Amino acid sequence: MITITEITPEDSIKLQQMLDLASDLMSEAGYQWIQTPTIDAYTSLAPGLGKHLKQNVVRALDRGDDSLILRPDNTAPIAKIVANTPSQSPMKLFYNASKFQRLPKSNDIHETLEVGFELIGDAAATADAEILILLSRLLTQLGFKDHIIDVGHSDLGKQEVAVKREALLKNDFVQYGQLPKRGPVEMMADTDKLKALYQALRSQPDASHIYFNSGLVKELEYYTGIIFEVYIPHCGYPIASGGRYDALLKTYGADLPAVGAALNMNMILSVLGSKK
Amino acid sequence: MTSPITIATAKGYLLSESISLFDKIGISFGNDIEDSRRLFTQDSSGQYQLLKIRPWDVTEYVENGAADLGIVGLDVLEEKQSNVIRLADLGFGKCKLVLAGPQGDMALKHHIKVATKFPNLTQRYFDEKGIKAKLIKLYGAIELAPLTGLSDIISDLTATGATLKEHELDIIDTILPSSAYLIANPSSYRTHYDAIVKLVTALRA
Repeated sequence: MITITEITPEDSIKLQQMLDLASDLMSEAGYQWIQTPTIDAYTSLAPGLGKHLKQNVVRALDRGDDSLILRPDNTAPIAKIVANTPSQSPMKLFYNASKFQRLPKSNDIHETLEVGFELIGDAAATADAEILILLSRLLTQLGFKDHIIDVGHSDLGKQEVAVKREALLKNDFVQYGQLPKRGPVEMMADTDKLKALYQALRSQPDASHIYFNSGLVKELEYYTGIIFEVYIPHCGYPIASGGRYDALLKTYGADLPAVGAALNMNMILSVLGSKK
Repeated sequence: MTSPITIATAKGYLLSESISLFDKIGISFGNDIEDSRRLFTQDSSGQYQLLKIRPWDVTEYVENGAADLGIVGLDVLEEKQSNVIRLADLGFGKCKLVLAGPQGDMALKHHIKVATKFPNLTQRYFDEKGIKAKLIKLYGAIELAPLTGLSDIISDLTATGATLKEHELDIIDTILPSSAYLIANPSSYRTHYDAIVKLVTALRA
């Protein structure tokens, strides 16, 4: 089955308004628009795709011995372009593009429209803080005044013994033995990996939406630092997510650290639709 | 907080156990929902809403966020592999998913025919054993399948084993021990965090 993103004229207007708002905010913050190819050669993108993404790519066409795939994710093609373009560091980029994946359970093909932004070439905790604050400001501007950003760190999951890590991946707090530590941003001060982020966030008035969550664990191998997920009331799924992926650009030939966030616009449109 | 926390509960035994468990921690739903045709009710404080639904539907409600919390057997959670948070093992509703066959004929052979309501868990069991099994998905009265020749054996839930005995079936192996779990939608877990943590702490005490 193919789940096509078919956006009604009414939703298209809402989407355009949101894109305009996002575009204004990003430009103001010094982020530049970037466009990536919708179809690309599998072999050229593959180095930066994790196991999970490789399993779920949508093959578009076969061209002799190289198959072409639909853009499986927005970050990998951006990393590939930046790694192969001489540019000033740091680079601040934003995008608005669809990604195409097979859903693991049903094998359906799914198109997701994302708005996202990436800060490439800055490994400091202040870069993490910049992305989180920008995300929070964007969500507030889009009308989600009570959004919640849960922030964890990829190393917290890696430090757990295998069975506990497995439990966190499954959100099985019974097997984990307790509810993972979670609370206001001040709790980051007690975690070595997030101390510097707390220092960068504590003076920010917009940090009130940000929470520490030690139980946030992701299967995506490329996260090498903070990871985060965004939730809002009356929507059962996260509307945005992201994290730091310092090893990704190296897979395309340039050793540059990076951090970024992406909003799931399909989810956001469906929330706006059900609000009426 | 304006909107109540909605709890989807599997009707039947788990519902009455849940209502008395909530009663113990000071959340009173009364008894009218158990016997009536009403499918939902609120507690006396108006902070919680209880939905009475089929066990197999509980995970759908919680996964989609139509209910914030749910109470359902681990057997259903494992069978459906739903993306929900497992908060607590409530300890009641204990039973196990077992393989059972006609007395005296217990060998698990290649191409064995197995009738079940739990095809995923049963398939996983046979995959791990390296035995090729033919699964027949049924929706009830599983014990009839071997008697009528529809299948060789069954995989079904049992609490006391009485129903199996009545149909001259013996337990071959246990696939999964189960009990009632409290689950949460991952978004509700964040948006109602303090209330849910308080509830879990009270339930575990």
